Order: sequence, then C-alpha cells, then structure tokens
Amino acid sequence: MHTEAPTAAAEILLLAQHDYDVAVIKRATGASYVNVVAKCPNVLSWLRRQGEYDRAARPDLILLDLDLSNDDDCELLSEIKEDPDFKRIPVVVLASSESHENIFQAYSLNANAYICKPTDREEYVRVIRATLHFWLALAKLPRKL
Amino acid sequence: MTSPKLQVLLIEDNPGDVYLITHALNLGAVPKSIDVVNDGEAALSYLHRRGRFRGVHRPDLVVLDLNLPRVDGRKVLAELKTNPVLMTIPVVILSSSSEPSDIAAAYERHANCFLTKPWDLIEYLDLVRAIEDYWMGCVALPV
Repeated sequence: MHTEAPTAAAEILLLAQHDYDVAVIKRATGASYVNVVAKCPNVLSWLRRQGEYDRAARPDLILLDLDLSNDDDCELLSEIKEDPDFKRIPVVVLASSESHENIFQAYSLNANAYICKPTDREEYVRVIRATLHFWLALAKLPRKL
Repeated sequence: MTSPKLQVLLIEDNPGDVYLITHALNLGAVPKSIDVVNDGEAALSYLHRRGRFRGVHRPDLVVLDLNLPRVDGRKVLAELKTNPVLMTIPVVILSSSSEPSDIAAAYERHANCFLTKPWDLIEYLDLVRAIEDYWMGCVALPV
C-alpha cells in the first residue's frame, strides 16, 4: 500500500476527541496542513467562519472522529452534508465501531467513506495515509467555494 | 470483510473501459463478483431489481460513468442518492470528465468520490487498482 507522504499543502479539517488520534493522524499527514478541532459544534463554526474561526481555511477534506450511536455526532454529519456551502467537501468518518448499524447510518447521512480505526497504531497510520493518498492525490475534489 | 464476495456493479457503456476496469479489478486480491450494465436505464432496472434483473444482489459498491446512453449517469446518481433504500450504496464516479462543474455537481448529489479516467493506460490500470485497494481494502462498506 501507499506509504509516501500525501500531496503537500492540502487543508484538512480534523475533528478528534482524543490526543492519541491527533498524534497518529499528524504523524500520517506529513506536509499537509491539519487543523484540529476538538468538539462537534466547533466544526460547524469553523466551516461557517464564526467567532474565533472567522479566518478559518476552507478544508479540502474533512476527517470526523465520530460515534454514530451518539445523536450529536449524527446531527453534525447531517448538518455538514445538508449545507449548500460545504456539503460537497468530502467527509471521511473515522470510527471505533465496526457495527453494521453505525456504518449504514454514516452512509445514509451521506458520509463519503467510513473507516474503522485500527487498534494497532502502525495500521492506523497506514490507513490514514491511504485515505489521504486516495483523496488528495487520486480523487478529483470540488473547487473551494 | 465478513462477506465472502463483494458485489460490484459497473455502469459503463464503452466496451474498452469495461474490459480494462473488470480486468484490473479482477487482478486484486479481494474476492468479488462484478456485474456490468451498459446504459443508465439498465442500471436503474438493476438497482430496483426489475425485469431481467429480478433476483440480482444488492451491490456493495457502484462504479458509475457519467456519459451513458438512454439515461445519463448524473440521473442514475441522483436517483440512487435520493432513494432511501439505495442511498447507502457507495458510488465511485469514474468518468473521462475533469470538468469542475461535473465534479462539483457529482459531490452535490452525494457521489462518494469522483475519479477521472487517465489517458495513459498504465495510469488507468493503477487508478482502478487503487479503487480496489481503498474502497475494498481500507473503507468499511455497508455490506
């Protein structure tokens, strides 16, 4: 699989609840810009450039560490994917759960992809690198609004 | 992957593309069954399991070309992603287009990703292999 660093200078918005995930993802991202927000409501403030986020960069890719059995997390995903200003930005859900119910829930709320976070750290890094390579180097992304 | 075989539906009208895509996907290690339909109307019949497609499996992944005879790929995408039963199926757009308006419109309609067919044969094969690596090896599909 791909181990090279992904395209430089991409803007990634990461919602992560734990320092461990931030550390793994930052290790995997290399030269890309990763902006980290730690709480659900802040993701929307970032995208809407509200309050302290008035100069927030428009991300190329959004990574959301979510628990789809939690209503707030579902609400966040559906708000992003229904907003005409940023629904087109690809959202990759990173989740601990492998339950079919959660996976279906994510796709029914229009997540672009669902990744089960591997428990092994090196495997986790590899999966994030593969994700960044796929989205930033291979996929065509929509122009930023 | 718990399912023994992934069901892939390829919606593509060009025989050369069909050959290349199925060949490259079959080179991969993931056990899969690939069904091919050549126009948008057949794609919708397949997805709704109508007529000659009665009894087909629900696809775990759809690879969709945009420019298709009879019913356009954009319409197939719109129908898939507004149908409560079908909307969870991930749709990979694989098109010769790299027009920003096509790309934006596809993501607006909730295509899961957009890929442009490379002109170079080796790059084209590599891209199809990457679809397998990522969507069937890394991503959790709603199977």
